[in-house]
Order: sequence, then structure tokens, then C-alpha cells
Amino acid sequence: MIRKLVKNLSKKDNDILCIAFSGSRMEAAVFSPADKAVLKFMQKQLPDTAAEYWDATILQQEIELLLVESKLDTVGRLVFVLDTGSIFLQRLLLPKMPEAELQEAVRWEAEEYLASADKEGCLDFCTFPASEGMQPVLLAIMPQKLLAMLQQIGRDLKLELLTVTVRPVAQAAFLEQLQSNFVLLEEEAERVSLTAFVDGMPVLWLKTEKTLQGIEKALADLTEKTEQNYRIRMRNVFLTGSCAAITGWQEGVNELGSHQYYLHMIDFSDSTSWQGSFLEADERREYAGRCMAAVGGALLAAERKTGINFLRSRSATNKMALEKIMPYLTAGILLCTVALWGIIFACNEYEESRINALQQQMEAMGSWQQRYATDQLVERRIKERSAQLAALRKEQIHWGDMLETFGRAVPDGCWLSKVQQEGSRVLLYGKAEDLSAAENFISSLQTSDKFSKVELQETRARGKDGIMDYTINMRTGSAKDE
Amino acid sequence: MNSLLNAAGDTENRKKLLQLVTAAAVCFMLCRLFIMPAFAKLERQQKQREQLQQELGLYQEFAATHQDYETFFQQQSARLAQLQKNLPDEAVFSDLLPVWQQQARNCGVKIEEVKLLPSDTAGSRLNRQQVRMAMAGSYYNVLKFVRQLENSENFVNLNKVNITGDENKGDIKFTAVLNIYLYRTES
Repeated sequence: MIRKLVKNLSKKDNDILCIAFSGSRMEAAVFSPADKAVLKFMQKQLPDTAAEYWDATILQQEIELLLVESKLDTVGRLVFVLDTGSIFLQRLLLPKMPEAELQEAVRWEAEEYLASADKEGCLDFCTFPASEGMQPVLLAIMPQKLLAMLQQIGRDLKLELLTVTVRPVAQAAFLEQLQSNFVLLEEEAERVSLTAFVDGMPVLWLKTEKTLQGIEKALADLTEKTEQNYRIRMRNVFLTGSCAAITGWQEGVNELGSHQYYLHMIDFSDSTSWQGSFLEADERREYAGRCMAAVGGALLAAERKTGINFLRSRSATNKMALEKIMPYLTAGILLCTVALWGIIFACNEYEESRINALQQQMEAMGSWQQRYATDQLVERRIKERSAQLAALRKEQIHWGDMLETFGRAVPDGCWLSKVQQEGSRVLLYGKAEDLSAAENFISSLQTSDKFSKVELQETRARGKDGIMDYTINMRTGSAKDE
Repeated sequence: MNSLLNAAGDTENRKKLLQLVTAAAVCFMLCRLFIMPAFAKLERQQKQREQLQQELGLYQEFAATHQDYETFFQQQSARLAQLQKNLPDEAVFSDLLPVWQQQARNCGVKIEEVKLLPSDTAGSRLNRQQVRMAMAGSYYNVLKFVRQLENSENFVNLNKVNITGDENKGDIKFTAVLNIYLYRTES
């Protein structure tokens, strides 16, 4: 705990732990970017199950053990270098095109391979200088689950995962041959492996027996195939100095078969040193050969060299599209909002100008505005008085017409003595010689259409002369008003 | 969101997501503070413009249809004046009485009684002034006088009419309540 505290206080956790895998062998190198030196290198054989099936628990335990046993307190960052057995590598030759189109083309190529593999993968690619209008591209695909597992290991170990790359690219970085053509000769347990690199990309692999003839023949085959397929004559050969079978090969130009090669012994370059106890040149070269992949991975991460790094990749499924969309979505939302604001502002100004124009027109018609207002007032007054007058006229009893009607309607032998009005009811009192005269009077009043109801209310015989009094009850208003 | 963060697992994706969320928040604030008030102002302006257009249209149409405005105004004024005579704002009884008396004399009718009764309201805009009048004369003269009363400029409504005849003379006595209506103008 105190160590951790001191570590946190001193903040010396910039060293990189690079874990490289070669089959079931785990190689670990601690690299200091500040000193550009390899501080430590370790190798460990993993249980077969862990290597074959990528057991996260076992891997994490092994790395933790490594950190504790080696007291790697200054390590704060992590790099993984994966074997070609776990990765799909393919060199593509595409026409030179803009970056966005190139990404689409590479993704399309990757999806073809993924479709045949029938699994979800992460891809990354790196480009190399174009020539004759064509651009070499190294495409690498790894399983999405494997990447997620490695990321989880980094989080659990509380180390910042910088890079997940492939072994040949790390080796080329160590050899400082990231864009060169060369052959790498590595000694394995029972065989020798030869890898041809074109433009820094591994393109051909051969394995042969650990004999000089076998190695020379394999080298010749590799050279011919490279010349046949890529029209490149291999001249540079990098080899580890520990290979006992290669006797008689000297560093420098060598004639092997019908070909001339320049042999380089793998060693730490001037820019990268071995930090440790003094070593003989042979021992140093042996270490260089062993930790080439691990240190190369650390160099890629520390010096941010171009190469394969699955951490910046996206799966060849919709995730890529989603992450691509987010910046555009952000920009789109902002642009749309600003555009909307601009449009509404412009509309405001436009409406304001239209209102001003209308107000100017209104001012020009000031006199007519006044006349219109006056006319509306007069019209309203006329309407109101007309309405009141019409209502009064409707209820009005025209006594002039009534009197005239009475005068015309009274027949001979009948006369009126009194007229009395109570609201719409009118009573007529009079005398008649006989009932028929009164009835004639009533009939005349009914046909005049000035009364809605005319009826004889009462008759009284008066005296010996036979004259009778009558009373007629009427309602004003025509019969159709009833 | 969580699954996205978990699935992404790296700072680049989180940065982009944070940028997106920040942009969305900024846009929301812009909308609330500037865009929505501007939009409300735009709606008000549109309503105001439509109203102005409508008013201007009315004035222009009025101007087009009343090119000889003076004549039109005179006609309207004459109509209103006539209506104001029919339903005046005020009626002075002492001015009306001599007119009636003169009319009665012209018709050969004798006004026996004229009495001003208390006024009251008749509807929301009218006051009613009642005058009880009793007159006597021949049937035809009374008829003539009654017609003149009904056709006078001031609108007059005869109510509570009572007519009695004198058998000997042949005259009639006509008693009625004259309703004169006064128009109450807006205060």
C-alpha cells in the first residue's frame, strides 16, 4: 500500500509493459519511453488451454504474477502484441483514393472476409506509400470478443491499454523497417521461420528444418515467390544471431545460391538500448532477437508510429456507423438549431418590414380611415334607431286606419256608441236594429283583415223599439298573425 | 447510454458522447431562451400584419365604393337626422303642445285636455313620455287629426284609446294616451 502511495505520489508510472504472444509462449518487456530503454524482459510458457482458448482469468493471473514478482511498480501502461494465429492479416493493393473512400473500401473488403468467417470482428488497417497510382494497405482483423477481453484485463489491472497490435508489425517497428522490403529469419523450437515483408507488411511465410541447406533453399524460394508475386527482389535479411545452423553467414553481403543478400544481425538499434547489466554483443543480440516483438510493440505505442492498433478500430458491424455518426449528429444538431434561429430571426425582420409598409399605407389613407370610422359610427346609430323604430311600429295600432275601418264597416241599421282599448284588446259598444245587422258588422270587421279575432260578446235587447245593444270583442293584428 | 459506454469502453467514444450531450443541452437552452420567444414574436407579428391588411382592405374598399364621399355623407346624415326626429334625444312638451293645438285647430278639433304623465323606460335604449289627451269633434275631423298625429315627424303611439259618441250632435270624444319615445344615447 505504501509502495502504491509512493508510486502515486512520485507519478513514475509511465513505463510500458508489453506482452507479446507467440503460440503458447508469453513474452513480456518493460520499456521506458523516457530513456528509450528496455528495463526488463521475461518469458513464460502459458498452459495450453490459456493460449489456445484465450482464458482471460489465467492470462490476468500470469500478468499480475509478473508484475508482483518483478516488482514492476513503475509500469502504468500496457501493450498487447498478438500472434498471427489469432489475427487475420491481408495485404491489399487498392487504387489511390481519399481517406473516407479508402475506409469504405477497406471495410467492404473486411466484411467479405468476416462473412466467410461468420463472426464479429474488429478491424484496423494501415497504409503505405503509393506508387503508380496504387496504394498498399495492410488489413488486420481480430475477434471482437478477444479485444474486449484484453481491454477488460487492462481495466482490471488498472493499466492504461495503449495498443493491441500484431507480431509482424511490432517486429518491423523494432527493426525500423516499417516500410521496407526484407526477410526475417527466426529460430523456433524445432524449425526456422522465414517471413517476407513487402513495404513493411508480412506477405509470405515459410517454415523449414534447422539445417543450412533447408534455410538456404527456403530463402531462395521466398525470394523467387516475392519476385514473382510482387516484382520485388529481396536483398535484406534479418536474422537472430542464436541460430546455430547458420554457420558461415557473415554480417554484410553474402552470396547464397544465385542471390546476393545483405545479412543484418538483429540487435538493439542506436535509438533503443538495453538497460541492464553489461552484456557481450552475442548475448545482447540474443536478447534483442527474443524481445523483438515485445519491444517493437512498446515502440509503436510510445513513439506513436503508424501501424496496426485495434484500439482505434471499430467492429465491422453497425458500431462503426454509430461512432461515425456521432460527430455528424453533434454538428447537425448545432447547425440545425442555429439555422432555425437564423430563419426565425429573418422571418421576424421580414414581418416587421411588412408591418411597417402596411402602417405607411395606412397613414397615407388617414383621411379615409377617419371617414370610414365616421361612417361606421353613423351607420351604427342609424341601425340602432331604425331597429327601435321598427319594433315600435310593429306594435303600433294605427287608430287612423281603425277609425276609417269602423266607418266603412258599420252597416245600415247598426251604429257605434263607444270604442274602448285595453292593450291589444278592443271593445266596441253599439246599437243595432237586429242581430243580423250586428252580424253583418262583425263580418265586415273580420274581412277587413285588421283584426285577428272578432266576436260578438254580448247583446241586450233594449226596449220596445227592438233596438238591441251589442258588444263586440276584437284583437288587433291580422288573422295570419294568430 | 450505459450499454453504449460499456460497449465502447474507451475515452474517445465517451468524449464524442459527451460532446453530443453538451451540444443537445446547448441547443435546448438556445431554444428556450431565444428561439421560442422569437417564434412567439413571429406569431404576434403575423396576427398584427393580418389585422392591418384587413383594415387596410376595408379602407381601400370603402374608398373605392364611395368616391363621391360628400354626397354619400350627406345622404347618411339626412337619414340619421330623420331618425333623430322620429326618435329624438329629448322632447320638450312645451314645444309640442302648440304644434298639436295648431293642428287641432286646422282640423276643426277641440283639445279638451292635455296632461303630461310621468315618464318611464321602454326597453334598453328608450324613454317613454306619456301625454293624456282628450279631444272632441266630428268623426272625420277627429280622424284627420289622429292621422296627422300618427304621421308626425316625432313617432307617436296612441294607447288606451277611448272613443265615445254623442248621439245628438254626431260628434265623438276621443281620449288616448300619446306615447312619445326618446332615444337614450350612449353616455
